[in-house]
Amino acid sequence: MTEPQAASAIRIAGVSKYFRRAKGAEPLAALLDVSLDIEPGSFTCLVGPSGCGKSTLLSLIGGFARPDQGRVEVNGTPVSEPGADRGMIFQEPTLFSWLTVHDNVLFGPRAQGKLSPDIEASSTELLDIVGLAQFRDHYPHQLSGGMKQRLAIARALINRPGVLLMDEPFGALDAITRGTMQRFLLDLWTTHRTTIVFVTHDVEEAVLLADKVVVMSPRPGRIAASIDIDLPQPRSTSSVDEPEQVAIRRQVRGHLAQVLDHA
Amino acid sequence: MPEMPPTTLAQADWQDVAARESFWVRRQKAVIGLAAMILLLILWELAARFIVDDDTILPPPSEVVTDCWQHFTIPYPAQSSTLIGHTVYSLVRITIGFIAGSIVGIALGAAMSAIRWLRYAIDPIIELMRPLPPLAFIPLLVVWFGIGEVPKVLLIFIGVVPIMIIATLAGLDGVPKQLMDAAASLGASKRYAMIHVRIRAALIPIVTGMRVAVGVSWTSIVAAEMIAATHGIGYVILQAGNYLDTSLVFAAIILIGLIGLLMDRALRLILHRLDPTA
Repeated sequence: MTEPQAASAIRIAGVSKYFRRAKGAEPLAALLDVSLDIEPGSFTCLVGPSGCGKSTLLSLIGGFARPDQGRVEVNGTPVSEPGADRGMIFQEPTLFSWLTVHDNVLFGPRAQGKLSPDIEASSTELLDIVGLAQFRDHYPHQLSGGMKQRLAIARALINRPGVLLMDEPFGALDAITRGTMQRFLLDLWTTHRTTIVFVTHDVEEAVLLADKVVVMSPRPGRIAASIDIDLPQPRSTSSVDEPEQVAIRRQVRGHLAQVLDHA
Repeated sequence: MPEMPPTTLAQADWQDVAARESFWVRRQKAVIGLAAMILLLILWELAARFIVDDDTILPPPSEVVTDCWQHFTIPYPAQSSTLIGHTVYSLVRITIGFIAGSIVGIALGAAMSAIRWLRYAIDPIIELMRPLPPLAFIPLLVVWFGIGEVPKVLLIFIGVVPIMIIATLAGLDGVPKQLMDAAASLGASKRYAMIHVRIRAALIPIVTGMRVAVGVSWTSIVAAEMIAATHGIGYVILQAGNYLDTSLVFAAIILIGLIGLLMDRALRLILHRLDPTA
């Protein structure tokens, strides 16, 4: 980096990503010249209609795909492959069905050869935080949907990632569990202040959780608007009915409507 | 809205878990199954004694058990082996054919999963071979390898290989990409993820395939031993049938069933250790 600047946790500069749907067909721009800086410790939600490239953007940060143009940096280092510094939470919990709850959490340290009594202690602590302490010897199939997703979060957090990437993590949960999980995530973020990038198509969820909502447009995938949410933290799930949140939701929905009109 | 205390969350979670473990349903299944089995044996005994009343057509189960028990020590036919000896013959043939077939099938399946052109080459051959009953190969095997041990073991091998190839392929292909992505994002190297996630996850369908293959092995061994053999359970069935020693035919059939069940149980035990959801 040549010029001094406020250090971003995630820096996306002029990123484009193309997909070729069929041989000889015109490549489809999933992302076109997208630039975005994400501050350390912030909570950013990417919202947009399907096909806007929000999940693609997340997978570029995660290192699961490489941009065709532009740069993706996390904490000043270009992203080249997936790594333990970026915890990834998918819509499906993607747990290891043959490992107990406790061993699922220890998968990362074990894979990196970093297993130690200290790590085991922090695993126990994490299980306590996500409310699974009593289930450490259970297997994933014995857990409910919300519990599975909390286990996936604990499994990512044991690596102390600088960034937590969440791809519609609560999309497959029922409404009540989703509310509980939103409250859980807000609590977790308030106490741990990890940088979170959260993909959702639920505007209410985005405005409740994030301190910045990025609205994306489809075909080609671009950033249409970036809205700062200056609402007091910590928030609770009951604050969705407050007039400030309602107003911001209206604003975000306005951007989304515009995006869809142009598409 | 007040923050939900963690104890409430945990209580709700416990209820979820309790609902998933249906201990009584499993016990009920075992009791009903056993009762039906006993009822069947009683009906068979009564029918054999009072309706058929002819041991060459339908010997009662008590007679079958006694006969079986006696031939554990008395050779059948007189100059050959005891039932235990015959069983060992069959078991050795099955074990060699099954293990060799499993190794070759798993290796081929893994190679086909990794190398695309190999899959394209072998896939149609398997598709062609899969619906063939292994028994169709018996005359060929006898022409090529005579009537010794080789054709009998080969027959089992031929039945096991395609099953294991298909199970291995399904196992390795069936591991979701997202599970590998999750492993990578948790800091696993490609090698670590391959061994501890992809292969580990594939072991479950592979062992399931082995269970199927054991069943097929028994079907083929009996047929092979009926054609050209002087030992083995299949040979006993043929011999006893020829001499209208019906209760011994039943004894051999039940022996095959029990051993097959035992082998299946052993594999199921392994499966349970591999897959907690099983």
